[in-house]
Formats: sequence, structure tokens, C-alpha cells
Amino acid sequence: MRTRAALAAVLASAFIACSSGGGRSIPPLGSASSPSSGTPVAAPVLKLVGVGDSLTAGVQSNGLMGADVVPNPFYTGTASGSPFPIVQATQTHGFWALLWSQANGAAVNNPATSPLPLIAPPGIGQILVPENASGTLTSITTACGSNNALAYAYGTALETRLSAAAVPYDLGVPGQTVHEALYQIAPETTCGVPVDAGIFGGLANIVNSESNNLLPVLGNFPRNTTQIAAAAGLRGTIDTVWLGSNDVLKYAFSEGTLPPTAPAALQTDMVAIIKALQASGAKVAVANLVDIIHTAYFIPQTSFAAVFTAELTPVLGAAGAAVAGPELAAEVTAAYGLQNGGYLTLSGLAPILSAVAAGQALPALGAGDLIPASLAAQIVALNAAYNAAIAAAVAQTGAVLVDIHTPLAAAYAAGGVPIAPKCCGFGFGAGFFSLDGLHPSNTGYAVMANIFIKTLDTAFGTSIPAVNVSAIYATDIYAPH
Amino acid sequence: MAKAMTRRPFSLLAPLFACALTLAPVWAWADDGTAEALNAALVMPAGSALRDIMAQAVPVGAPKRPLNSPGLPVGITYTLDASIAYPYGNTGTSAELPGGVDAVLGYGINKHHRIQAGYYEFQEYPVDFNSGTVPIYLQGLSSPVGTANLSSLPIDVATKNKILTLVSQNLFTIGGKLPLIFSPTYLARTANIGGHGDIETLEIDGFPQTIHLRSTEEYILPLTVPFLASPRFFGTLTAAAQWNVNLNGGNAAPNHAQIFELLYLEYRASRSTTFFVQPSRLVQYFALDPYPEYVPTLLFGVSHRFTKFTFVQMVGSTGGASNRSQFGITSITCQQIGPGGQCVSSAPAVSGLHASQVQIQFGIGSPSVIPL
Repeated sequence: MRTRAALAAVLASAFIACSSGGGRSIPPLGSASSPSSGTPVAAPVLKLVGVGDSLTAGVQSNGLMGADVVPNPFYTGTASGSPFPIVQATQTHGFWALLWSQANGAAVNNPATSPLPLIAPPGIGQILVPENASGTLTSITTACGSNNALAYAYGTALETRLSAAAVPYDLGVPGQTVHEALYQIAPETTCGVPVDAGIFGGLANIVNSESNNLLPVLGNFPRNTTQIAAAAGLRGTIDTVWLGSNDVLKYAFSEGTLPPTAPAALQTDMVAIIKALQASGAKVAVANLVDIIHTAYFIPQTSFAAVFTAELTPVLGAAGAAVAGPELAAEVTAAYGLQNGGYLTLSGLAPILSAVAAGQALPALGAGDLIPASLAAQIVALNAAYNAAIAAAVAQTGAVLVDIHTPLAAAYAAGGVPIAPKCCGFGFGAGFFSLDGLHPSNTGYAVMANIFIKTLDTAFGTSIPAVNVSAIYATDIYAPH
Repeated sequence: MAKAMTRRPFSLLAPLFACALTLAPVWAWADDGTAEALNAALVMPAGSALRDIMAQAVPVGAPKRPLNSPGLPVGITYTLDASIAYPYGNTGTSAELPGGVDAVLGYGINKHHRIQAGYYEFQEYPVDFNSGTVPIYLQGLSSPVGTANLSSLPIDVATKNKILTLVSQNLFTIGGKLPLIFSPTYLARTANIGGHGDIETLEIDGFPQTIHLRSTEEYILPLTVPFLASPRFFGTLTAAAQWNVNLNGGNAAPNHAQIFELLYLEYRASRSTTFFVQPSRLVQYFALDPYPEYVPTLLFGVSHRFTKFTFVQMVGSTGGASNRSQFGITSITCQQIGPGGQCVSSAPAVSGLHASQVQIQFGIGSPSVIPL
């Protein structure tokens, strides 16, 4: 894809978000919580409620946004300018938005009627966009600017929304773990926690995404409402649950130093979540996890030569890159002690490429930049253990399992999902993922939506039509054409 | 999935956690303050009356009445004392306990009915708040992110319980021979903890809750009967149905009546000196608990009367919840990380309570109606 070229250091800084605080009073203790402001939008056919994290929320390219920014401020219409004419909305392209649209035959981009908590531009987080033709990524907002500053306080969080009055049915909170969905009632960090500020400073970076997104999503509900309490209060017909990816990611991004969520604890929490939703009268469908290590964010050591060759091609030309790419791959492998089975992440790739471009030595990398083979093995094992725990929780409660893992693992093994001749691989810029390498492209989300739809139709007897993935791909700015 | 990544080394070093963590000077609970108050409000007045009945003695401060006319003291009785107290056991701190006062006023309507109002202050310092290592959590994450050494944190749980009792005593006799005392009681309790009130934020059932930690209101229906009466010995047995009538915090679910039992035995060494011992199983309601704590408690001591109206009394007391696996602080949950990267608010989780102390009282009136 166009952005395959140099990932500037801004990529790394763009991943560092912000935070701020909130008050505490007696919480709801997990009971169902009805909205305290606004009105739930009508559900004309099927009342779906989405419970989850950034995948349910519809995050792409490191941010959450409910409307396009037109034009992309970096778009000049010239060959050297950004190839993106707009900064695309993310939420309306998520799998849950597609699921709702297909089930109810209704568009999701009208703020007054959307089931999504549509976030006003420039979004929450730092949405990445290529600022030039070579694909250097930047963001249209700062870590603590505009919406990001408003998002941490209960009194101002709804100001980030396109419609504060519309109570959403998609309650996915980006960054939340399974336990957080049950127990997080307020932001855990404040905006602008310095990353060097001791242990809690380091921890703040692990939990700042959910702290930034919690109140904009749940702001229509009483203060100190959890995601699960809010979902139960909406009394959906079918509730989808997709949680657990952040339990893997937080462990991975802490370089294995943050104690991982115990699979048994995850299962206990998942059972509690399912039972709470079932008690509200909903049928519950629970998705398992994709293999996190197979996302484009993690670059396997065995792919270094190909990746560096591709990255250097715009600078050195094909012939030069064919020589320099493998040399750089060998140098990186040796310098960071990465063996076969180890990974470099996108946040680690950026400073390497910057150093190479500046003719400097390879830089020191931090946590989240490198995944040694031993840690990668632990991540894979944890991923599998969580999927076993989710399956057990589903069996224990009579819920329905949405098996996302099996088809996507097969697709990864096959080299991608065959949508078109150039799409869609799982590598960075290959079409399945957006610019952050973790969250799907429009096409990737469409593939996931169809897995949900097929499961719901089979298990619950619904007749939700499948998403036309090819049509989605045709207009997908993140997919190669 | 998390959309924000970290580029920051994230090593979890317990000492740094301890340094970064700030805890408000805090909480305390204890366990046997109510035992003393119940003893003072219920057992001793009842015991006093029963002792009088059984031994035909007359309590200090009570009006004279004819022998062979057993009954509750008629007219006004009173007690006023001041006390000092010392904790013992492994509290993990050298903190001293505050002083206290007790004041009791009773009025006997006739020999069968008596009313009494009492205010008691009881000091204690529970264990396992200032020593040991506990895990630190971040609100929302299920796994601990470090540990904290409690001895390094500014925790002050010196507690002064303040207990108000209103009692109606009623004397009955069974078969004209066995006297018993039925004493419907209202008990209200609050406390000063670490020099301030008892409002604290605790982690309860996975959520932080701000509660009145030691404030309770209870209705109690005790029945006291004598089981031993001789020139040297005297003993009573008390059993009571008990209700928590002020639900809050983790104790907010409707609760059933509980039964507490209490045995009192005294030995009169001389006309002015009495030794006593009182084992009991109390039922304690704390806002941090979803269900009551059952507290086996032992009180023991000696009282000595200097003059007809002055006395000194020393009471040792100890007790701990039997239906809790741990005492004191069991974990600390950081609620929010501040702009400086430190934990700016936190809430401890607390399990059962255990405390032991010695209290010395100097007073006027009758020592039989003040806490042992």
C-alpha cells in the first residue's frame, strides 16, 4: 500500500496518548444502569448491543472518529502530497456498524439516529494519516488536544460526540480488558502522563486508551457506570461480546513485565459478563480472539529482509534495496538479538528507519518495540489460553461462540484473505489492516462482520444479509488496488 | 484492542511502587469495642441487678432498699470515668491510643423496669495495617501490578470508638425463683480513625466505595440469666438477637437476625476488689463487609474501689474475626494515575479485624455500669 514507505518517528509518538481524571462516589456495583441523559436511538428490526473494545468500537489507524475530515489537511492534489483526499471516519467502518446496518437496513452515519457513539472530528486518540506521497505518517491532532482533553471528565466527555443526546448501542470501549469492562468506572490516567515518570508512568501508557475513551462512550449513563452495567441497562435482543485482545496486548506491550491476566480469571469475568447480559434478557454471542501476533503490527524476524527491502525501495530503487534490505535485516537481527521467532513492532520499525535515513547507528529500542522469541511464545500461549477460557465461559453459560479465530488463522496461513488480486494480506499495507497495523481496514472489518452475521443467523435464526465485501474493498482507502 | 502503544520500559519494582503510592492517613476498624460497650450497657447493669437479687447486695450509687425485696435499682444511678489505653500485639507501629471518657445515666422506674443511656469511648489499634506486604492493583486490571510494604506507608488506624446505647431493662422471674433480665437496646456507633472521622474509601467487591467505616446502628434483644451466685463468685449468661438497621456500603444487602452470646464470671477477692473474665462471640457489622464478622472476644481485668464513689478498673481485651481468612489490609488498588506519573488516589481492601488492648479507667459512680 501507499504507506508502506518510511514510517517516521511520529508513528511511535502517535501511539502515545493522554489521560485525565474523574471523581469517585459509590459505584453501581455491576447492576444494570439505564441512561441518565439522552434517548436510545430506535432499533427498527433487531436491537443489537455491542460490548467490547476497540474492535467493537470501530477504531482504525490509532483513533476513533465518527465523520470524515474533508479535505485531509495534508492533501494537496499533487504527486508529492498525501494520497488520502480525506481523513476517513473510523466508527462507521467497524464490524459492529456493518452488523447493525445489515440487521436493521439503516445507515449509521446520522448522528441523531446512529447506534454508534459518533465522535466528532478530529476524533479521540491520534488518527494516523500519510502526510506525503512517501507515506510518512502523522496525526491531525495532538495527544492532549481538542477531544482528547475533553474526554477524561464526565462533565465534558459528551462534548466530543457529534450528538450528545443519542444514547448508543455500541458500547465498545477501546483499550478495555475483560476485567475492565466489568469494573472500570472512571479514567485510570490523566492526560499527558509523562512516559518517564516512574512505574505508574509506564503503566499509564498501558491503560491510557481506555481512560481516554471510556466517558465519551458511556457519558449518557450515570457517573461510575461500567460498560457491562450500561449494556445490561439497554436490554438488547442480541448482545455481542468481543473482549480479551487487550489482555494479550497489555502483556505484550509491557514486554512481559505486567503480570498477565490469568486465564481462569478471564473465564470468571467472562462468565460474569455473559450472565449479566443474559439477565437483562439478551441472547449473547461471544467472539474469541484472533492471533494478536499475526497482526501487521508485529513483524516476524523471518520477514525482515522483505520488509526492509520494500521500505528502502522508494529511496534506493529496486536494485539497491534488494541488496541493502537483507543487509539491514541481518544487522537488525544481530543488534537486537532477535532470533527466528522474534518480532519487531511498528513502533520499533519507525526509529530504525529514521536512523537509517539519517545515516546514524541503530537506536536503542524500548518496551513494545521488540518481541523476543521467548516472549512471543508466551504471547501465543496466552492468546490460546484466553480462547480456551472464552470457549469454556460460553459453554458454561449457554451463550454462542463466534469463532473468529479459526477462519482468520487459516487465512493467515494461506497468506491472506483473497478479496482481489492485490488484497488482502496481513502484513502492513497489504490490505487487511489500517495504518496502526492492529485494527482492520474497512475490508478487514467487513470480513469479520460476515463471520458474526453467519453465526447469528445460524444460532439465533436471524436473517441478516451478508456484507458485500468486494463493494467495501472497492472504496477502501487502506487496501491496495 | 489497545490503540495506544507504549515505548517505555515497564519494569515493576516493588520498592518504587511503594514510593510512588500515596495513601490518605487512614482507616481503622476493630473488633472488641462493641464487646465492651455491650458489656457496659447490657451485661453489667443486668449482672448488677441479678447480683443484687441473688446476693442481696446493693450496688454503689443505688438507693437502699429492703432486703428480700429483689429488683432493679430504683431511682438515679450514674457513672463518669476517664480512660487511657495501650495496644498490645503486633500492630506494626508505635502509635499511641487516644484517651477516652464514659458517661452513663440510669433511672429505675421501679424494681422491674429501668432505663439507661450510656456513652462510651473505646480505644484500639487493629493489627496487620502497618506491617507486611500486600499486592497493588490498578482499578480495572485483574492482575496485581506490584506490591506495597505497609510499614512504609503513612497509615494511622488509632481508633476511638464512640458508642451510644439506650437500654430498657426489664426484670422477670421464672417460677418465682429464677430471675432474668430482658433488655431491648438501641446501639449506635461511630469512630474517630487516625484523628479524623470514619469516612473512608475502600475497595469492596471490585469497586471503590466511600463509606462510613465504623458507623452502625443496631437493635438488640438480650436476655441475661444468672448461672452462678456465691459469696465469692458470680456469673451470668447473655444471649441476644441482633439486627443491623443502618445498611450501607458492602453491608447493604438485607440481613438476617444474628445471635451473639456472652458469658460473664467474676471473683470478689475482697469487698473492694473484683476480678472478672468475659468470653463472648460478638456479631460485628462493618460497611466494608457483605456479611457480619463473627468475633470471639475475651475481656478480663480487675476493678478496685478506693472509696464508696471512686474506682479504678483495668481491662484487657482481645478479639478477631473468626470467619475471615486474613486480617487488616489485604491489597491496595490505585484508582488513578496522576499527571506526574504517580498514583494519586488509592483504596485498600480490608479483610477481618483483630485488636488487643489494655484500658485503665478512673471514675466515679458504680464500676458495675461502666465498661469492664
